[in-house]
Amino acid sequence: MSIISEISENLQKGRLKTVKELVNSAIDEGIDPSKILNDGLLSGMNIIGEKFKNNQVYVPEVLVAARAMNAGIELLKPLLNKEKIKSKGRVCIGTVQGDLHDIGKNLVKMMMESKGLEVIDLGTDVSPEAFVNTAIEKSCHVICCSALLTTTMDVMSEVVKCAEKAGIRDKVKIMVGGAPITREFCERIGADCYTSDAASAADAAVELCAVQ
Amino acid sequence: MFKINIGDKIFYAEKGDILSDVLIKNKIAVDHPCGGRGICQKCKVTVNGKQQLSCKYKIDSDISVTLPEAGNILSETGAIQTGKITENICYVLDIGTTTLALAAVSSDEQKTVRFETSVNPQRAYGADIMSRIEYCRENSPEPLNSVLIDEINRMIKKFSLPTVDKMFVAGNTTMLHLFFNVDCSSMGIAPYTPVFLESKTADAHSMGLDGIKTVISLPSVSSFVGADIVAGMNYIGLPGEGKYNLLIDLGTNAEIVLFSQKISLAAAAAAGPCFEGANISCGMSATDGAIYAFKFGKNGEKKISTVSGKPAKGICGTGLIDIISELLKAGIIDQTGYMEDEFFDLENGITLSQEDIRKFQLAKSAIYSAILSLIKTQVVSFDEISQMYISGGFSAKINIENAVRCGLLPKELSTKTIALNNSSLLGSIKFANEANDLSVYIKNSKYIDLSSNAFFTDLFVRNMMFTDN
Ligand code: B12
Repeated sequence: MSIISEISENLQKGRLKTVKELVNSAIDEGIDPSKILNDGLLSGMNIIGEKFKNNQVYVPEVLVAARAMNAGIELLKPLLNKEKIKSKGRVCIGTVQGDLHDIGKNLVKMMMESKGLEVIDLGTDVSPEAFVNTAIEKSCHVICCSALLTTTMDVMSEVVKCAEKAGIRDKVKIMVGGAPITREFCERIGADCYTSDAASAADAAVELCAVQ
Repeated sequence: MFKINIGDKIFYAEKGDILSDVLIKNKIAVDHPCGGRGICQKCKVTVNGKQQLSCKYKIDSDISVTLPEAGNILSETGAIQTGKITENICYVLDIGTTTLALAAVSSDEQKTVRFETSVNPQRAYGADIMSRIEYCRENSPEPLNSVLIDEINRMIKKFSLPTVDKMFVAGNTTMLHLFFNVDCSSMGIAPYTPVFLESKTADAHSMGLDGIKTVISLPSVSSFVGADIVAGMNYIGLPGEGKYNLLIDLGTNAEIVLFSQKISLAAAAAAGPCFEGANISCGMSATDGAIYAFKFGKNGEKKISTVSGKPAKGICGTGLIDIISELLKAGIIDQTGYMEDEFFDLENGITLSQEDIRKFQLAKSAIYSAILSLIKTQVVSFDEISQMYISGGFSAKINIENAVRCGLLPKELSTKTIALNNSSLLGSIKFANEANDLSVYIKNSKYIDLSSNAFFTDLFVRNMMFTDN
């Protein structure tokens, strides 16, 4: 097995220490850092994402894999030429105001990062204004809102209205998700995209960024 | 205007009306656990011979509707009906989000003379508290209050007793708000402020209640730790010096309290309605035909027990715990919760899906991790815990060994576990008889918000696995 596929394999098993060791030896061997990143770390994370979508693995496995991925990326960062790894787009994400559930949101964030998107994490209890202001200041292509409570999902429609009021509605796409959200709800409040799981959310966000 | 035929009744609706709204308006009991969002599939009815989701069905012609067969809720209260009717009778009521339980208690004999359980008719407005609060916010508490009062009157009538002086009432904080027709919408969104927590005394007649003079509610601790939990602690009583008791209510909101003579710590694990069968594909409440126990025999044959011995219709909470534990033991489900096949077939087309296992992992981990978080926050060792009490309508039927195997309850406490059934009703009956001082449970209580707790989230993610057990 090549060292690259070994990185991917070990990442999928969440073996943080081994992944770090392998990334270091790959660097020593002189392998192109962007190859280590894309074909080793990110591709391993993609496989986990797909498996998660198909219910073959669950939240804990995704999180340990993501931890291993991030540890690997940290090692590569100083070597990666900023110009070379062009981000596929910029996204801000958060759990809406009044809501503190963040596990689903964190999974979406990790899957998006593994697809090469730049993600700004606003945390939980995020006001509509904070979403929109961040989108303006950091010129984000997509705003991602997560909600787990029936009593907070309506904040998402405030986010849509707030983006309209700020005059950025034609420049930014709004994605919504979380257990109580449905496609119908997304359409009703005038948001752009809903997906039921984190891996599909990342694919959809890449697409949304590509058309802009 | 269109005609809707249901059995021997006719109702009317406008074009475009949603069928579930018509059912709710006319007080027809069909479950709507997800509050009409079309995701739980539990409000299915037959329209002109075809199965339809009533919350998604738009009326555009005359229709004939057949409702699903209603079963009897098997909810045990744990109250034993022994006493004789005497002069001094009072009522004790527990308002659960799912079930109502009413007892007539003789204060001379300190015994329960009658009791009655019933489904909380507010279920039509959504299965969990949040959906009820949301309904209250969008409309008013009035409809939720009036269906509840009607149902309580019906239960009281069944007792055919002369007017009694007092009714003691416990329930979670939201239910008590709705019982007194008080707006509960502020409890739907952070910081979850209740309108009242204290014990209330009210004139029953002006509340629309028949056959009682005065209503007295028990006090609550916070929005999410209600009088039902206070009553539960009252039933259990304080532990010995330096010791702790744990009370775990295995409901949707899964309140947990760890209490000693000096302090009580409470949290809501928010496990979800999976033990009530609400988000499980073949899930159902513990009514006729529900699989409530499961075991593999010596030769791998499936030993299935159903409520009332009826043909299997679905899986209830205790059945779910058994099935998952047996599948773990047999290696059909691995430690990560993965199952090779997409479904496990039980009988009669009833199956357990991979998705169901995932839902179960969230629920069981939420409860287990909340217990551990309280213990760690208060820096208590398992040895210092005298007893762990589990309550909830189906708690007495839980196979504790299986609950431990699947990681719902800590194994360190398995020999100290006692199932109480309806601890809220039992504790309220005790209060009615003994008028105990409840302030000891409230005075030094601390609400632990698990969202900001140092331990919870990590434990929650880790314990979704089945490894530790
Ligand atoms: C864990 C949990 C908690 C933890 C949260 C810990 C944390 N750091 O997140 C704690 C215990 C703190 C908690 C608190 C509360 N909770 Co809670 N909680 C849960 C629980 C058990 C699991 C939620 C979860 O993590 N799921 C796993 C993740 C991975 O799934 P997910 O978030 O849906 O995310 C996936 C998708 O939806 C999607 N996705 C998510 N976000 C986004 C965003 C976008 C843009 C896209 C495209 C996709 C997407 O991708 C993810 C992965 O595929 C559920 C019940 C259950 N069994 O589901 C209740 C639940 C969500 N909670 C509930 C409630 C009521 C509460 C409380 C009010 C309880 C209380 N009495 O205090 C508080 C509220 C706190 C607050 N202000 O937010 C209710 C909500 C009911 C309702 N009708 O609204 C639930 C459903 C339980 C119930 N009672 O039925 N809770």
